[in-house]
Amino acid sequence: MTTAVLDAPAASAAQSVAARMKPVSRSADTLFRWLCLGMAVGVLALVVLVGWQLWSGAQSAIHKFGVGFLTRSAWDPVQGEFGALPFIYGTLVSSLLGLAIATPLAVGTAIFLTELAPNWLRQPIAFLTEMLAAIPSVILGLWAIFIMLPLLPRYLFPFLKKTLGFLPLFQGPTYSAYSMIAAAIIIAIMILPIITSVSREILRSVPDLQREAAYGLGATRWEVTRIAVLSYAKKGIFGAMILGLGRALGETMAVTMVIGNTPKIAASLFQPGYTLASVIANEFAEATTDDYRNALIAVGLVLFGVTVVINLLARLLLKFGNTQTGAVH
Amino acid sequence: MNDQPAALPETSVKATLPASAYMNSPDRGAPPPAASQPKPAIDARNVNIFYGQKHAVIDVTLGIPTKSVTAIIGPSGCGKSTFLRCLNRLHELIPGSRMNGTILLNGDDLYAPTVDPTVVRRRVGMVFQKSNPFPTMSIADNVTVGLRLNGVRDRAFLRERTEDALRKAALWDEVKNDLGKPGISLSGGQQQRLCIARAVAVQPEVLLMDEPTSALDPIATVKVEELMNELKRNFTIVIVTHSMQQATRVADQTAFFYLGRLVEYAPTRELFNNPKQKQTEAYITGRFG
Ligand SMILES: Nc1ncnc2c1ncn2[C@@H]1O[C@H](COP(=O)(O)OP(=O)(O)O)[C@@H](O)[C@H]1O
Ligand SMILES: [Mg+2]
Repeated sequence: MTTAVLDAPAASAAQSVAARMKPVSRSADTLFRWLCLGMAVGVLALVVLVGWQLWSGAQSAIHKFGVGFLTRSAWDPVQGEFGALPFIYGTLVSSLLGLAIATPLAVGTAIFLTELAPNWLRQPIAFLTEMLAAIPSVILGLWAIFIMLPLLPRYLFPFLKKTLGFLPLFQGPTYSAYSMIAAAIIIAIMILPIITSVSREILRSVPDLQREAAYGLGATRWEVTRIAVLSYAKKGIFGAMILGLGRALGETMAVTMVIGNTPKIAASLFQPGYTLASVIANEFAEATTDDYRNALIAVGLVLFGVTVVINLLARLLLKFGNTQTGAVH
Repeated sequence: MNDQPAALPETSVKATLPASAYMNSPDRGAPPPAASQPKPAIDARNVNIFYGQKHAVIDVTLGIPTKSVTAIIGPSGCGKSTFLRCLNRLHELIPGSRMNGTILLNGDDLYAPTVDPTVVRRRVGMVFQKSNPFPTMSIADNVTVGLRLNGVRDRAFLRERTEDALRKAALWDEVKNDLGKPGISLSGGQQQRLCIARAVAVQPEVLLMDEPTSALDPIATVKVEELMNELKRNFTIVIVTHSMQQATRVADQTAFFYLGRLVEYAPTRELFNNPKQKQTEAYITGRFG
């Protein structure tokens, strides 16, 4: 095989290939780029628009009630008294409590799915947890009213009173099941799937090399999970929790059905409460006066603000949080 | 790997290797001639390892002399890593893997039913191809993590062990002022030496290294190789390498694996200068692999 023989056909082939190719065109490229840019700007504009609408809609309420709107705890539309504090309190407490219930369950499930479960069991369980997310909120609310609520005063409340009753959170009368605890449990169920599936992805992204490093030192499975997997993944898991919290803050339907919708701040979690989202959903249709309506829009603005602030705080924590600590002690 | 001769049947290995009677022979497991020690640190007999249907290591019998460096060479996919990992039962983490045969570590059967694999791994440490310090731990914590896993709490003792292990890994002078910094802030070569320090801190009897320099630059490679010469005063080292030059530089004896079988095992110089097997010769002269 000499090169002379090879050269000629190769050259002509190259020529004919080049001749058949279209001249380079950038028009599709340009179109694609503008299209994507347009969509990104659209999403951004939507956020700004919603924020601005809430802001301008709430203007008259802000003028009328001032900053005191955030700190007053009286909500009496008939007397024209509007204070959002009970809703802020209810939203934060029910969401954080829900998050506290959901996180251990979700992370435990994720660890089970990635580290412990035999292969054949992983898909079915992952599928079932994700199915939880597909249950419509209102159905979950109905389930809670008919199945869960009757059980609370009978089993859970007395148990909590007996074990944690020294805390003001778990004192007071327990005759009604409509309560902050009921809302928190429902919220926990609703945010469980997202925290589980995000945590699972995070744990799956931990390199096997990390696990082997720990196994190679003679770590047991639990020790491997602790020093190699969880410490590697803790930032990501925190991120998953924040995603869940974001959902929790805005959760409306099922919460409205079980929280009792009482605009009061009660120390006891056995007492009913109210959330920002619930009061809007519940009362907007019957808001007859302008003040009432404006106050509800202002509540919407507060909810928007709370969500944004919490997400920003979480981002800051993730960025500057010091994670360079020994994991075994 | 196309025109290599078919794997030789074991019988011919025996037949042509009367001098190297430590391999596939009735008194298998004896150390190679170079070793002055009477007993091998690791004595592997008739080891077979499967991944599902795949027979990855076939009837390997090998004695590894104590306080020396033993290299395992061979083309990729020939079962080097698999064999190495069965020496500390790390291959068991792979679902579907099976092993049969016997492996004695200083006389103890590593696969006896009562033996806990975590205990085996505390006696047989491992350094991996890619450095893998724990990213959330400081340099010092990375070194002592094995000790702390074993319940050592005494801070003074941990500090002492940190310095000792880092000195053994020839890293002390470079990091002694930065012990609190994260382990992953070091350079690639330093990270690998940190992993060596982490492994030696628990004072294992044997140190396994799977291509420990393949991700390192030449200078870092030289450092790690020099380190092996130091470490073998205290530890028995088994290293898998794809570099024959590395084997000649660091190893006292070398085992050549091919298609899952141990083809030849001899003092390094003898194996490279005077291979007894045609496959070994073909491999070291670069005709395949
Ligand atoms: N996890 C695994 N599952 C199935 N087969 C594997 C696995 N790991 C390795 N093998 C197979 O076992 C053989 C030996 O692999 P390995 O020990 O990694 O070779 P080497 O380290 O010599 O390159 C190869 O044919 C490889 O394909
Ligand atoms: Mg390998």
